[in-house]
Amino acid sequence: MAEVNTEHKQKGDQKSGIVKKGKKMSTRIDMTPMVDLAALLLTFFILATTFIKPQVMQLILPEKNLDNSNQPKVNEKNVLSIVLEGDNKVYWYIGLTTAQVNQTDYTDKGLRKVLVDSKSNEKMVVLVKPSDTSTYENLVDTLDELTINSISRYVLDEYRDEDKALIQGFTGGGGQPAVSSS
Amino acid sequence: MPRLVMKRHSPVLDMTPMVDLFFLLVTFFMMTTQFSPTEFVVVTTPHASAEEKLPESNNAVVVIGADGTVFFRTDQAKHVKALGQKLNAKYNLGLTEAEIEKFSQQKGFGMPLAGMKQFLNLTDEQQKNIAMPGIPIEDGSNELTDWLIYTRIVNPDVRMVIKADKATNYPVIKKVMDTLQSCNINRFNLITDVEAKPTT
Repeated sequence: MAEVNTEHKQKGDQKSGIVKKGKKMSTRIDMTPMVDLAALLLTFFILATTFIKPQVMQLILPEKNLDNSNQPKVNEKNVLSIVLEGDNKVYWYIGLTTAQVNQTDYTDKGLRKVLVDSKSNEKMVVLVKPSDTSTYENLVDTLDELTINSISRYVLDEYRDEDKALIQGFTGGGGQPAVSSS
Repeated sequence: MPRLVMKRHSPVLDMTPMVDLFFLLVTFFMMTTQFSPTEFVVVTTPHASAEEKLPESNNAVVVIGADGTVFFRTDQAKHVKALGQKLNAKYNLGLTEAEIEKFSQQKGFGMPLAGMKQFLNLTDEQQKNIAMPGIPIEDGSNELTDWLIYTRIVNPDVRMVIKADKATNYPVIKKVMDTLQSCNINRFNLITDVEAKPTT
């Protein structure tokens, strides 16, 4: 059979007899759809990804059922109380019996200055007392200021009636009644 | 004067480098992406200058919405499944094997345990539309305690995280912190948003 075919040795279309030249295809292909798809995927993944890992703030609280009888006593002159009230109000005072209540705010000229000043006393202990009307943001702001000023001797304390009375006494003179917290 | 003849450019441009780049980026994002967990509530965390990053796994997150509803989620399906089995046994929820499997697929929880069985039998669509009442944290019916204790039992390496909205009232936060403390969890993390650290 092979011999028979010798006259058609040239690779070509046997039916038409036309020699196929091997059509020169362009090496360029249309990449537009591929690019479209790639761009679509890219956009999706950029949007879906969580690039920013959440930041966290460490908080360590004292053990709850600890025996409090052996706790060291602190001179009240070395105690700075920061009371967080509603409406983003902050009050602070040193000591308790002779406390001079001052009002400040969460800006760097307010609370931060108070804390920086308090650092002149090395023995200073800071009590943070958030009232029931304060928000989580107030608490985080305060804790953040403490961290910024690298004050490690602080306690997250309870808002007591004494604090309420002190602040009411302060705001009572100022005309504006204190935010009641029930 | 010779006419200035603009050279005719072919309208086809070589897209190969662009495609290369695109695929490189696509591959990169595909590899690195980690789908952000969807919360039941929109939580705007407060800003703070904390720079510590939260690791990707072994977190137990207590999510607190602005209105004080409490949600709970933890990662890794096998731990969630074990957690489901423990809670099922403790509260006699009567969950079947299949329901516990469904439990482990959940992205988070925000309902009293009594309603758990009913919730798990809803379709995904229904689950999305239902309003979550939150995990009870009141004294006497504080179910969050059990969520926390059992999470710790099934995964001792778990890290406790509080993610609260900045407008949340303090009493709710205090209650959650008290709950954590009563479970002897005294070290935990608060999720905050980025804020530039002051230079002074």
